[in-house]
Amino acid sequence: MVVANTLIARDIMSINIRGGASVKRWVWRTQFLFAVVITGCTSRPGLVVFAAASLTDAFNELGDSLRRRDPDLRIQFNFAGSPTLAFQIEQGAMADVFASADERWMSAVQDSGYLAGTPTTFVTNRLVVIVPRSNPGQIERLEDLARHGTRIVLAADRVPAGRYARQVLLNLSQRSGFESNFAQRVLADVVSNESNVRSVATKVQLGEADAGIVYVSDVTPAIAARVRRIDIPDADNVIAHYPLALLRRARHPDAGRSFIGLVLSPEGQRVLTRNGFLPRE
Amino acid sequence: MLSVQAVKRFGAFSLEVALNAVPGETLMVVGESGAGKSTLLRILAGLVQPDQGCIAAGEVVLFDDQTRTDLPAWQRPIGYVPQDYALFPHLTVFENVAFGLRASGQANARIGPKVRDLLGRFGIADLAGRHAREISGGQAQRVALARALVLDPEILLLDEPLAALDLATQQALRGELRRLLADLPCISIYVTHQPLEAMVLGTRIAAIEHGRITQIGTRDELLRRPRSSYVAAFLGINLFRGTIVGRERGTVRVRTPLGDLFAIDPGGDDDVFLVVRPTEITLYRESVLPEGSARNYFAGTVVELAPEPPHGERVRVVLATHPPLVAEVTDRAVEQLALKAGTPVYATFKATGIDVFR
Amino acid sequence: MTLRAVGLRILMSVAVAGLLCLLTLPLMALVVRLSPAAVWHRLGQPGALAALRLSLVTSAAATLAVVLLGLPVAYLLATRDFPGKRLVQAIVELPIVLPPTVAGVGLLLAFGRTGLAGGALHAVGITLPFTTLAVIVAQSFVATPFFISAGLAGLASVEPRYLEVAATLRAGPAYRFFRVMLPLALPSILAGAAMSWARALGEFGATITFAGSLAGRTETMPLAVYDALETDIDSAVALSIVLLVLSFGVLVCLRYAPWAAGIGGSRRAQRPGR
Repeated sequence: MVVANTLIARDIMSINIRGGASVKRWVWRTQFLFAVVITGCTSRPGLVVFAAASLTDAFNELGDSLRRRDPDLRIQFNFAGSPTLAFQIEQGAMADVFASADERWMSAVQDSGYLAGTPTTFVTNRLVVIVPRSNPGQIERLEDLARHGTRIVLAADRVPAGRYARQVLLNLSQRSGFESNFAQRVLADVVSNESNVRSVATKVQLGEADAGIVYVSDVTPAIAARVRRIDIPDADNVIAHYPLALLRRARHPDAGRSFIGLVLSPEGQRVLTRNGFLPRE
Repeated sequence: MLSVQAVKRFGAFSLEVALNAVPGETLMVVGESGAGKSTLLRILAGLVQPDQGCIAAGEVVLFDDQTRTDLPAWQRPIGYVPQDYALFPHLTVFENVAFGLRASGQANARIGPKVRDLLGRFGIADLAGRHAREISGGQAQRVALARALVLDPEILLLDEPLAALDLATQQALRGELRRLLADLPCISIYVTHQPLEAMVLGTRIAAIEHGRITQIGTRDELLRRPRSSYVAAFLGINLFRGTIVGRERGTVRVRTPLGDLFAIDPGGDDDVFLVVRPTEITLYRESVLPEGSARNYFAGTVVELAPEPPHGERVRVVLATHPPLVAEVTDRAVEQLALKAGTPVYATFKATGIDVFR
Repeated sequence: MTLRAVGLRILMSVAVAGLLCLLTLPLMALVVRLSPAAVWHRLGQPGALAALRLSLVTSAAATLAVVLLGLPVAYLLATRDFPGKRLVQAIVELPIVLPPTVAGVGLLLAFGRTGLAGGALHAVGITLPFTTLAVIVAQSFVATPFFISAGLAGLASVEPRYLEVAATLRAGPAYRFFRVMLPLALPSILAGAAMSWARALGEFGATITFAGSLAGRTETMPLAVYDALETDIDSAVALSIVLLVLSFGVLVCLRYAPWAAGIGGSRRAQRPGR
């Protein structure tokens, strides 16, 4: 019953109403409304987890696992870009748990006073470059990314994955063998700044982009069949620390703590690792 | 010279006509609604394609199903005035009249004087800047005419041009129209259902009934020898078809749908037409068999009273006999007899008041 | 008044008030958030100006495309009967009921590099995704039905008698179309163009899916609002206010312009006075 919130929210956002400003109205109102609807109106015990898009597959698995233990428990996930989730929480969305893809957005929520406790890092992630299996841009090595005219898709820089990707590019510019303006040249070829990292993966697997930078965990089996990976050396890669926290407005704090416990447990960690994440250090 | 021969079928109804007309004449086409007169006009205009036939205006063939010629409306030398004038609402009077000239690519410099001249002749020059909804019905009719005539058409087609106007305006314009039509060098085909217009405005009259022309001729020819009861009724006379069933001292007894009529013996065959002129009929309120020789005597109720324009001193009275009888009496008589719809009356006329012909 | 009548009145008032509140409160919330000076300041920033310029250019181009391509279609639908006409009408109206994101996915799968028509386009040297042209295509896609239905209604309402009499006045088909049909249908056509423009201006879902989001190239105002929302809400609000003013302006013009007094006004063709 978990809904691909992001896609649906996007749909709602683009509901066909005459007049452009209407879309704006709907952008935050309806995502908010949607969050409210799925969280606020249920009378049965329902845990609501807001999680970064990259956690989609892993958390869905964990949700199933939790439900097996407690069949009465309802869990709803809201997967979206971390900034979007933070925004919704600040606007009053009723959620129990927040799992962000970076510390920046967790801090933003913490500074606004919406956390119940302190955040815990529960998993880390790293970035990887992917290209379509047919490799239309003929990218074999990282250096090829700087080739002029390559269609590169990144997450927007407000999104953790986008910020990390740009950091990685800067790091690579320092490496010998790469030109010092490597990052600028790559960024000049960016054709789209997507609002969440999964969209980047989509564009690459459809063959529309020549290359994209995503998390290693985003290369799910389904996507792996359609793309090729180009690894980033550990020294230049970014370690993304994913924090997890219980929210102050949690309606089901116990269920929330159970979920957090599960995530941090060996079983949870196994699930996360299986989905491409790296253990928290 | 316009020669027309056309067949057009619509489901159960079919129109089959043949007629000719010469420049300068005004041919009135009369008929009941549904008889096919508007269709005939639209066929001539090129708005409806006949199934078969040949239409030629002088040397130019407008339609011929044998050679598969069918000139579209805009290539025909016609002028068309539809029933409600259809003045373009988005254009001024001037631009309406100038429309055809512009469409045929005439130079601006020549259009102005031509249009203004025609507007002046029709007495509507001061309306040049107005739009269609700002002018009266009578003015609109003149604009529509001017718009058609400014193109010097060889054939002018008029679809009941006075029907959309109130009675007073109709009367006022009828005279103008008559003079205009008489002076026009083109062939005018004028459709109407009004007997008075037909009588007054045209040189010849063609009667259409159920898609066929039943009679075509001058007014006098029709009046003298109407060939169908429609034509007769249209012209306001009483026509009956009958058979002679008895002869006696110079009079004949003729069996007609109305009853047995007594008329003067014309000699010859037994199948005859009888015409009883409305003015020959006398009306009575009481069933008094009058003295005298009138043997034609019928009872009926008044169906309709209609003052007979333009004089208004005479009144046409339609009686519900079978078939109806039309009498014409003075309005004093109407007063004296206290006639109104539904009044039972008796009608009588002398044998000498009946025309018999074949 | 009877109790029932009073109750009915109250019900009506509540419904009307409720709906008006629902519709106007969000607009007011936007407007009161920033002062006009603040809005101006935000707009002055390069990102905002780029988005504004891009939006105006692409929506204008899309409207032009929709009008030029849509007019012949509207004309055919208004004047001719042909087998499959209903199907064509349904197809032309499809973008209205299609969620824009779905439209975007469809466009991607059709015209993307690996799409159905992608190969053909590539051969001619055109790649659509991630380009400004893609934005125009996406906007045209969603705006088409607005123009066609209004244009169709306008053209169909032109009374045949005007076209007939024009034919008798030496006007061939083209002359009749441009000098009689079009002028009489003009209010509806202009209204359709205006609605198309407004829809194109506000297009988001298909654009972001098909064209992506890149400042200056594909980040139109709606996308800029979305992108700014989580980081700089005041910029988002400023852009939203601009969009709101533009759209509202279009609607007001449509309602109050003298020629718009009868959308479909040619239906009330003027009969000469009796």
